[in-house]
Parts: sequence; structure tokens; C-alpha cells
Amino acid sequence: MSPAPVYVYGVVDAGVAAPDSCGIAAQPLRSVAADGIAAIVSDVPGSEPPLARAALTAHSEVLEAVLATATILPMRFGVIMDGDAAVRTQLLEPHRDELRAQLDRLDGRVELTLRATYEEAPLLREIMASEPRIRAVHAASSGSYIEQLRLGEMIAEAVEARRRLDTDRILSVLAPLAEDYQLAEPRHERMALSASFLIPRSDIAAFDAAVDDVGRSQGDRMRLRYTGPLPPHSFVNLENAS
Amino acid sequence: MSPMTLHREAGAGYVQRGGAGLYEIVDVLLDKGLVIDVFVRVALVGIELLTIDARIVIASVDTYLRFAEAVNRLDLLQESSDENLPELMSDMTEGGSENKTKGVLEGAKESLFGSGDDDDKDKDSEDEGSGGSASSRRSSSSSRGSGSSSRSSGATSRSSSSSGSRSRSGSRSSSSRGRANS
Repeated sequence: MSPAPVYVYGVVDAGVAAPDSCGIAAQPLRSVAADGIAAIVSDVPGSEPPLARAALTAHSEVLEAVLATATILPMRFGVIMDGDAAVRTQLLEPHRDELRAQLDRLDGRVELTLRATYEEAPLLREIMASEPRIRAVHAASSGSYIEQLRLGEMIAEAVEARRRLDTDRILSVLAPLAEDYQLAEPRHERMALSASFLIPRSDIAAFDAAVDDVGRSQGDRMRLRYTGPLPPHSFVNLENAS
Repeated sequence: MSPMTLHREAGAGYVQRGGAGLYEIVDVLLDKGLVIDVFVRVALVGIELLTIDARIVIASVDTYLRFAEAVNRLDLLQESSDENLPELMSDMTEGGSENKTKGVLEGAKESLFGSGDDDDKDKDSEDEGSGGSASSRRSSSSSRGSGSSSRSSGATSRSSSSSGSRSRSGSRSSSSRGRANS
């Protein structure tokens, strides 16, 4: 009989207790410790991995509950291991040094994410006003598929040029205030920026103010979505992970 | 969500503060964080497929046509009378940002979470920037039990509503709010 599987939420210092609450599938949280570090886990009932939406919510809530009072290295959503022994022998013990180093490096830090999305009408007006070449193509277009495609391609190129420029501008304001940052690829064609920033808790207010400044300076051409504090998802990794 | 996590939204000189919906952090939950090896990641297969599907190619025919259609709509806007302009503008901002150039990821998320859910409503209302109550947006996570398995068709089918058929009167037809998986 194989060991009962456990769901793994994240790694903490062994001195941090598991929250007195439940995780995925309403299973109580507990901690599995080895060598001064510990994983927050809960049992997985049944045979089917519980990866539905409610599980994603629960995963997030567990991480935040720990983050409220401690530093946690979050696991990516969906990691299930083959029992407590596997948590020790496959996660904690072989990766002990890098996990310890990241717990120390990320102590007292949180992740704040910022996504900037262009408002469609202001963006297109801006482009049409500043690109005579595109205006000409648009004015001459009969609306045929090929002409629409060409027009759209030119606009997409202009958007990309603005994206690069705006990314540089926004980062020039925010990056100096962060200990680290990560850029993600834009997820749709009107996304101007998608970034995660690593911020010491004591600097959150200053970073808030800087994001407000960015919002004001962009006016109505861009909408900012600013979320956090989150556990440092974007700033953890294991070297030998595939 | 715990009370400490805030979703803040800035734009047009204002900042809204409210709770972070799952929608706002699904990217980091699915894409970021520690993973240890292939063996363990087997548990992630379905989710990873979802996020890979969701990465759109920004330089694509779909994108080009959406931009071209959006510029054509812009013409309608500019040709309309001054009297109608404010109404049309707000209509375009709302309708356009919701369906016209909505990214594939949103479609995929809706598939993951089911359409018409709390988070999506949160997002829509925040997109419209109505400057509403800042503190009451957090929705109860206990009501989010809907299924997650209907993602297969969601990632690439969102463009059905982008027919450029918005009327000059600016009324928001129900079809303009079509969702990827509906």
C-alpha cells in the first residue's frame, strides 16, 4: 500500500506553525519538518487530485494565512507528493540549502504585481494621430480582408513600439524601489506591462505611492491593476527543478 | 482571501482599493512558485496545458483584424455628433474593453472557473471604472465551488463576438458581451 498523498503549499522555517485552519478539501493543515525547515501540507482525500477552482482558492488562502505572520516560499499550485516521507526525502532534505537561503533572502519581503492595460480608444486615437502612414493606409482602405490585415498589422507594430516605451518608463520609476522584479510576457494585445516586484514590507507604502504616481501620469490611456501583498511566487526557484 | 491582500487599481488619477479576487492572482498561482521535479508535476498536467493554451501570439491575424475593426469603430465615434459623443465614448470603453480585445487568457480563466462567476463580475465592474465603493469588493470564497473541467474549448474561441457590428446608436447589445465558452 502506497503512502497517503499530501498536498504541499509551501516551505517555511521550522519554527513557523501551520495555520490552525483547513486547506484543500477542508483537510487540516500540518507541518512536516526536516533540518530546520518545514513544509505546510494537508492530506489528499480520495484518489483524484483535487485541482478544481475551490482548491486554487484554498491554496491561495493558506499561503496568505501564513504570509500574515511569517515568510513562506510558495509551491506552485498543484504539487502533490507521496506522503510525509517523500516531502522530507524529495523536497526538504535534498534542497535544504537553497530553501534555507531563499527563506533568509526573502524574509520580510512580499510580492506586488502590476498589470497595465491600454484603454482601447485612447490607444488607437494616439496611434492614428501620430502615425501618418497608418492614417493613409486606413483612409485608402476599401475594407477588404487583405487591406484590413495590413492596417491591423501596422497598428499592432505601433502598439508594440508603445509597449516597449511605456515598459521602460514605468520601470524607470518602480524598479529602483524594488529589490528585484520580474517581467512577464504580455498576455493579450492591449497589455502594456505585466510585472512582479519584490518589496520589503517596510517599503510597501512608498511603493504604493509610486504606483499611484504612475497611474496619475498615465491618465486615462492605461488602466493599472495592482495586487498584493502576495507570497514571493515570482522570486523562488529550485536550481535542479525541471 | 485574507484581509491583508488588497487589489488596488489605479488609473485616471484615482486608486480603488478592494479585495484581490482569485482572478487577479491566478497567473502567479498557476505559473510561479516552487516545483521540484517531473514526477511531482504530473499532478499539474491539466493546469499547465491550460496556461500554455492561454498564451496568445500577439503578432497574429486575429490580433490584426481586431485592431483594424477597432479603428473602424473609432471612426464611427468621431463622425458622430457632439451631442452623442459622451454616451458613445463610454459605451465604447465598456463594450470594447470587455469583449473586443479581451485576451485569450481571460477566456481560458473563464473556462476554468465557469462563466459569470464572482471574480469575473468583479473584473467587469472594475474595468468600467465607475469609482464605486472601495472596500466591499471582496467576495466570499465559499461560494466558488463551480466546476473547473470545461476548459478545452475556451482558449481559442473568444473572437466570435468581434464582428464589428456595434450600432451607431451605441446601445450595448447582449451579443457584444459574449463569453469565450458560452
